Amino acid sequence: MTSAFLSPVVASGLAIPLEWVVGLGLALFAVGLLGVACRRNILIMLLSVEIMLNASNLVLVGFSRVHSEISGQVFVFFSMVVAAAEVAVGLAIVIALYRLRRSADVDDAHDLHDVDYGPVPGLKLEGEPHHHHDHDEPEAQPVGATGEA
Amino acid sequence: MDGAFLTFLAAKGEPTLINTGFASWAAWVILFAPLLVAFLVTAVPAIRKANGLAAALSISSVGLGLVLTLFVYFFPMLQAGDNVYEHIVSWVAIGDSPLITFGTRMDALAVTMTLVVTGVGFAIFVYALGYMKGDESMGRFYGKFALFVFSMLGIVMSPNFFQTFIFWELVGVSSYLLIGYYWRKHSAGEAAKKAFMTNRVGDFGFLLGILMVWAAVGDATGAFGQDVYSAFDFTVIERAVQTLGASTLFWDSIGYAAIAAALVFCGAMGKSAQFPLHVWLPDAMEGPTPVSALMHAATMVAAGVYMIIRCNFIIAYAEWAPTLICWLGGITAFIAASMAITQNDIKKVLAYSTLSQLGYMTMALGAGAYTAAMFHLTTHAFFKALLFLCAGSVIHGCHHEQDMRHMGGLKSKMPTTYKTWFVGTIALTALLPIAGWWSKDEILGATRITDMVWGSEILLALGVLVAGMTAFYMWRATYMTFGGEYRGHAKPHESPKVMTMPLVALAFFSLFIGFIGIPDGTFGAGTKTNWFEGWLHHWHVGPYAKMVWPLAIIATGVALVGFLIARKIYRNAGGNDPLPAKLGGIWRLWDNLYYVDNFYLWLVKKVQQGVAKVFWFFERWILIQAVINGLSQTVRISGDRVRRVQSGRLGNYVTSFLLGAAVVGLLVLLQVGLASAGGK
Amino acid sequence: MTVALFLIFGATALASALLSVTRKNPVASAMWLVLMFFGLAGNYVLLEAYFVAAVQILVYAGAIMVLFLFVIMLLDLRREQLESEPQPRLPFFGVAAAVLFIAVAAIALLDAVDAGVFPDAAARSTLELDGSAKAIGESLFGTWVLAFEVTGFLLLGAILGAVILTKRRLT
Repeated sequence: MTSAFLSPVVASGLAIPLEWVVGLGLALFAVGLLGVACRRNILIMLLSVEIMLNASNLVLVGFSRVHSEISGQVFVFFSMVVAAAEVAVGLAIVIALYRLRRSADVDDAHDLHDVDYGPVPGLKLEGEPHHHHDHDEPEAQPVGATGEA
Repeated sequence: MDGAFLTFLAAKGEPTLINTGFASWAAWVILFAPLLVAFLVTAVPAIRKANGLAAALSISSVGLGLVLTLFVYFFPMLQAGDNVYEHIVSWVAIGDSPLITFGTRMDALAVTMTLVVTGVGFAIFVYALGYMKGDESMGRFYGKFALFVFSMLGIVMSPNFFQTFIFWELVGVSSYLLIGYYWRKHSAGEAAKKAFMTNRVGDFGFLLGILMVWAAVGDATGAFGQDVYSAFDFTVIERAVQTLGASTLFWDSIGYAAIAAALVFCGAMGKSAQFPLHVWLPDAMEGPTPVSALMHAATMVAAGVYMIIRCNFIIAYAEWAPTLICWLGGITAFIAASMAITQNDIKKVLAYSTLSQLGYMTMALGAGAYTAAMFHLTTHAFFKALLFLCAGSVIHGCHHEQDMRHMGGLKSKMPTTYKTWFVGTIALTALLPIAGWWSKDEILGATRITDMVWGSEILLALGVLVAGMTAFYMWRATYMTFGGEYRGHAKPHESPKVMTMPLVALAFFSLFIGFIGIPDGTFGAGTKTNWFEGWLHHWHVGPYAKMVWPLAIIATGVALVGFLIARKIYRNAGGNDPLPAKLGGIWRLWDNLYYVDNFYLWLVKKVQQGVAKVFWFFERWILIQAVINGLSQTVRISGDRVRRVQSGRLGNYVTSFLLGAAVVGLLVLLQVGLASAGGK
Repeated sequence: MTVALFLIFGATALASALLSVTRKNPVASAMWLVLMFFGLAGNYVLLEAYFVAAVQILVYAGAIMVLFLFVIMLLDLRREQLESEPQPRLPFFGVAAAVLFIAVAAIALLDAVDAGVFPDAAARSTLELDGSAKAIGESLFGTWVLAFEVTGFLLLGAILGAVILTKRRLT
């Protein structure tokens, strides 16, 4: 059902091939992905995540129309709620981080990295004869192997 | 579980199995009374510390056993025919069919052996009262003594192989405890260990043999399931062998039956100290003399011979196994007799003598004359116990002097001991027709007629030769101990009554026990030849030995020659033994016990230690160094490398996430792609 | 006409998304993103999702973006800090993983087109859909009412989390 208000301008949404819609969603998703992968500014990384979310919303709407199923649009609604929540928490983290670091660069914050204890110390291997003192020697031998006299 | 009552007719001689009545419950009492005493003495310090009470309890437990056994023996139903009193309960079961049973079995053989064990045991128990007098830990001694008797009775009454094995090991433990009774003495501890370990060698073979028999019989019992019996039970094994025949039953592969029989014999080889596992028995002299007497007469060494008689049906038709057994017996008889010639310790002479006599019995076992072996076992139990107790009396009288070179002239100083020793020596050397004369000649006769053994003629000659050697070393010991002048430094005195009374009793039995085997006039092969064989005919295999008078005369003549040589050499020899100079190299060979101990020592030092070194190397370098340390080092190093993945940088995590998602996507794509390609 | 409009809106959204992720200044990025939201809203209208289109403008462009700008201003990033990021970093593995993921998705899309997963115009033409607020409301408060309530809690949690995170003194 095409809205009467728009009917002079647009025909049914069904005229748009679904693969084009999905293709556009994929392209937007790729842009967002590369943004997350390449940028270091935490704000722009968050924005890129929003782009990816929007790409998936577009695909949901497209499928909703083709299958004539309103649930797809309801899911877009939920997705927006999640996005809003994510942005709220994400930006709170950004503020907290900025207070701590005075920087918006994610690479400046790597505190999850464990403490570097330096190189692993070598094992003292058991049973190496030169590690034993003389009085330890008999214990390393089978009984009577040395003292047959 | 009490569903074990049933009547069962065995194929041979049709003995009736009866599970009720006096004999069935008496057996439990006879068996467990000594254990109860052993437990009380061990667990209650008050009894252990009160030496007299512990001794009284032990003696009465064995005495009770003797009395009950006599009742069982004269119980009319056992006397009439071939009845077997068997009372078994299922111990371990799989579903409804028993895997292992436990019980008592009283038949003619078991009653005979029980009489020997409790009878001779009773005499020795009483004797020990005098011998151990003044020993502060006499309570401990009697506790172990009772345990020893319990273990032996368990073997005697055992209705199955599994129970036999349990008590077999208990005998081993008891002997270990008793040989090492004077544990403060280093040599006693060593001897106890040696006895235990040597027996372990034999027991290992025994266990393998039991399992081989069990496997074969268990396969076959589907054909005639006995719902209260397991495949360990002698009744079932005997039935299986007789119904299906040893060759078909143990058919699996060529030699299975013979290997199984030989492995079962391994157990007897250890307990009855047959060559090459004989080395422990002389060392076992480290125990108190009553222990030696009990061990050599009634309990431990008799167990092997008894066990073979008990399961003769798997030995008798097992291809080359009888030959092996017979030859090992002959070799043992000969080398033990030769080693006995060189001993100066009075107990060691008797120890090697026991070995030699056990060799005779084993010869009889190989020759299929199981009743003859049992006969010799019975007579030997009496006169060997007598001789050991006499030796104990001598040692006691000479203040713990055991070397015969420091004795002499005890004939007048210890008259009762001398007279009883004389009886025992005659019985052992078979100069007069008492005890040993009858039983040994029956064994020689059986060796002559047997068709189960390859080269039995050689063994017969060897047996006759050993008779001469026996006479020689026994009379050598007699002359050195009792003849001439006293050469020691103590003041020898006759032993107290409590010691001499058992000697007299045993001498009495030694005089007359042989007459149960007097030929009853029917000398032809194929029929029983005397009362004893008639009593135990169920255990006889093959033709009965004729009483061959020429053979008996020859053997007696050879023994007489041995006696005369000993008389000539030792009558006036004093403390000097002229024999080493005369025999030279042979003497050294005998004196060094054929270097068997040296060989074992060499084996342990070189071969076992060599193997141990290989394992040591393996353990130290390959197992610990390469595997354990190598593994831990690998984990450490790789952990250090992998640790760097946790960089804490967001970019790296995003990268890992994308990579993982891409791989999952790729996999899904491949799956779907394959599916769509297949669907098209 | 519809298809042409779809292409115009789509191209706008894609171009502004690209510009958004390549800007150094987060304020410029946010502004380009607003344009992308409008482009997508246009496409929603074309796909007859009128209510979603309206919410897209209201929530994304109106609320979320304002929040973004608010935070950017709150941080008060100085120019040198904003410009401090060198050339957009191109970590080899990161880009490779992203490209691999995109390639997989693209191949899956093409594979689906080849396999005839997407219905053609004839198959689509008979379907109808009411994308009005009423229809969505009925579905939201009917079929999906439980999920709706859960999202309410989710938002509550997010608000609490945000408050705690910003109030707490991190040392």
